[in-house]
Amino acid sequence: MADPNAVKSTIKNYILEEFLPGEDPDELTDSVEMMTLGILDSVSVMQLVTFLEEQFDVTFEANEVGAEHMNTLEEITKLVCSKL
Amino acid sequence: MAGSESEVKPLERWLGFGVIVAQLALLVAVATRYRFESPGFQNSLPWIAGAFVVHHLLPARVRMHFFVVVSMATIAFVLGARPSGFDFASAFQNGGALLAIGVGLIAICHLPVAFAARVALLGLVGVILIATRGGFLAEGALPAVWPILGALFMFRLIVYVYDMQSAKERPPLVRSLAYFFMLPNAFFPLFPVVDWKKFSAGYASDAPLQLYQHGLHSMARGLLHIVMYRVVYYHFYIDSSQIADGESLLRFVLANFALYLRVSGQFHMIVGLLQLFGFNLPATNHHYFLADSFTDYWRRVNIYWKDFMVKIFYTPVAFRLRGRGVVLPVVAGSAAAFLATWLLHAYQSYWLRGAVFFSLQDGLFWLILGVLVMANAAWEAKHPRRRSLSKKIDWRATGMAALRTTGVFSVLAALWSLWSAKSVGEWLAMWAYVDADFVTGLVVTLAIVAACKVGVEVLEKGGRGDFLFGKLPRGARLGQVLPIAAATVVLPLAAVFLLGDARVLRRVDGKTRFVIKSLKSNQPNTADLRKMERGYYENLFDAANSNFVDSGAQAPADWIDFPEIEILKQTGDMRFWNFAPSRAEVINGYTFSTNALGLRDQEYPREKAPDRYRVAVLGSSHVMGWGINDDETFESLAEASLATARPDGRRLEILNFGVGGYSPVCQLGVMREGVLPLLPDAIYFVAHGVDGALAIERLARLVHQDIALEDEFLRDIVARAGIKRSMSQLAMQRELPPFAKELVAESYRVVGDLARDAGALPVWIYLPRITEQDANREAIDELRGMADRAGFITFDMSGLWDEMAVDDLAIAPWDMHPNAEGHRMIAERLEEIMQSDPRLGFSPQEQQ
Repeated sequence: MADPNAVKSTIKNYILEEFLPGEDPDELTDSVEMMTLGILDSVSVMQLVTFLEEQFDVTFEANEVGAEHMNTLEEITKLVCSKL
Repeated sequence: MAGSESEVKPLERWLGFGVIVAQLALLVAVATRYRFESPGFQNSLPWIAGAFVVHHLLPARVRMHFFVVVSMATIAFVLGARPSGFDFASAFQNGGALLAIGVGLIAICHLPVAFAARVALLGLVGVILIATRGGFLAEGALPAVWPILGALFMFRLIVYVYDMQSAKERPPLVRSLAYFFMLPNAFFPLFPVVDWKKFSAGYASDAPLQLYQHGLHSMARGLLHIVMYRVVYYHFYIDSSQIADGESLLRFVLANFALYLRVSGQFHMIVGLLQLFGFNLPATNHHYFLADSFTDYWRRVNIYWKDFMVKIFYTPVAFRLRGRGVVLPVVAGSAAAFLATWLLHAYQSYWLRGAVFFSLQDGLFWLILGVLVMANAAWEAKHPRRRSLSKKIDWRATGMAALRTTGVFSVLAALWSLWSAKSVGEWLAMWAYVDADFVTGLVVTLAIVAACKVGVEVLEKGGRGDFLFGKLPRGARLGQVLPIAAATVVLPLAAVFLLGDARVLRRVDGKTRFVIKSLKSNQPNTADLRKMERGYYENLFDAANSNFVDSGAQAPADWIDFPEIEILKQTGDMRFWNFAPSRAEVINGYTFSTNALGLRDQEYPREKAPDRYRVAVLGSSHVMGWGINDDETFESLAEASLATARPDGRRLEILNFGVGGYSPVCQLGVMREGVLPLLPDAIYFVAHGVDGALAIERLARLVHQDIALEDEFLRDIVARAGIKRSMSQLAMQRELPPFAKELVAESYRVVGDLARDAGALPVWIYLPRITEQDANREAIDELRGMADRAGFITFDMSGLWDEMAVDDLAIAPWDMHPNAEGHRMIAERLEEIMQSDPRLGFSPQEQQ
């Protein structure tokens, strides 16, 4: 059973590094709606999925790549943990 | 107003609801005063407002059921609505068919078979429905049902079945029915592609009163978009054929781009209405004129469409290619999305209008936009764009974004003008008009765009954007909501409402009054009326190429346009066409008969009897009587009324030489070939304000079709204008505007001379079109002056329609020809004219 906090931390670090360089980490809270705000879009979400699949050795379905599953850090963490 | 309902006292809750209802009442009043958008919408709004109140008062568990009932009743209401009243049989028959087909389609999505089998079955049924809609299986079956069925199911069914693939359980039937039979779809066929998951997850996901306030804000925003659209449409928009210099070119380019305001306005209205009934849906558009990249534009302009494309096409393709570099998945996914967008726009056109619409401009538009977005997305994949959660304003980044916005705005405006141009050649040729005025105007426009971009960025970063754009914090209380409601709903709507008040209109000058009155109109503008008359006449005998202008009111699929009537025959001379003799047709439900002389009139002997006074009326579709019965034309009414009115005892006979599409140039042919051999005593030439423009088109057409020009002045104008048969008709038309006045004046002169030489009295009558209620005095006086100088006795019927609403005079919302009541009014005015002027021989003074 993976530690959700560790998973979340890994995902958060990746997002900060790739998509929000220089951003204050405290601004990216668990409930920030990244797809709604344009932090994640159809291009960057594909990069994120590739990272998650490689990092956690999981596989995503195409219908999971959407705002209903990947809008917030919390939702992404929950989705990844459900596959571990 | 009440994030946590339990914390809010009942008094505050009821006060809050009262505030909502008051705002809704104001919105209904504005929508009614300004005739938003279709009659069906205007008529349904009070009923929807009532349903909203009942919906709120019902227990939460039955609210969605109530929404479904209201939606279905509204759809049935629209299906049964007729100008003459409500047709219960039609509503029952069409509504029943719609419901049966719809429930059948939903049922297929839930059949207990493999997903692939369900998709295959849906595909098969879809093909059958498409074939039936096109009349291939059952010609003319349920014509009223297809556009609404298409509007309800054409896209949402794709989203729904896609999501059923991964659904863990079958959704409640009532939710599925609510998703497909959405209330606003009854009067807004062009509809945002609402996502099933967002629709389901968003239902009642916020406190009701907070959700209602969001809905009202969306609707107010939509109304304001449509007001802005009408300003653009009525006062800036021009047809491409009117481009004559840099200034008009800029108007064409910018106004076409801005016409999207109508779509965004309707979409905001739709989402707002759904929010009133508990569906917490996101905005459909977001400051799309302020996009700072092409991908940003794609993300802002139609957010629901973008989400639809990403979900069904982009993600599955890009997902399969993930891991194969950064660029390939993005490019391949984007290509799939844009190819699908292009094809699905044609598919949408087929369902809503009954015809697939493909053109080179259309294909190029989507190809170029797709390439721009793909290139931009590939660039962003390699060089991530700057994103930030910080509320601090970075002035350098904001300045750069504003600069990029001007570039994106310019390219997209040019691209939209390609989509709107009649041909690629025309679009390329129009850039020859770029001059200093164009550049100056463009620079000013882009400076305004850049300033707006900076302003919005500052407001959003500074935290004031939420207030100005009506966003409420979760759990907002009444005290927080009131200022937002006042600023974003009440004040703008009250201002718009008061602007249209009769007392305000009386206090402003004529030009301002004209602008304000135009905002209340939902009729085609002058340019589109010209297009309608061209679309109506242009491709005569080539109806397949005849496209009806999208003026908001769509003709039903079985509506017959003038070029399609079977009585027409080509003449090969300056008339182009006339009627076959002794024929009868029923056209759009009206009788249309011709006599042995080939006139739309009763029978007359070719030889005029000595005891008859014969008048030949020359004109176009208004004289001919398009859209009314044979015995309802003003010519026949006036003839019957004044048959024995002549003091000399001669019985009046008025011969109707009106034929749709005739211009002053055509009347030269009519005079020689039709009128003069019948020895009339008087010629009544009925003129309109568009005669000059129509004469230009007809002369260009004559040269294009190599028809012999019998008149020296026509050959002279052709030579001086430098037009040749080898040129396109449009290119010829561009050269002719400087000769328009001369063309009309000389045509009048020749008609007048021909009449006098034959011993007939030439009479000229100006007849305004029903949309011409604010007469252009100068232009009419100029036309009348030409007729005076040509020796006509002239009369002006301007002001005939001033006391009447256009809707009460038009034969149909999509066709602005006068109806039977309009012809009755023309006949009355004509009788007054004939009896009041002794020169015409109908008044007792003449006898003295």
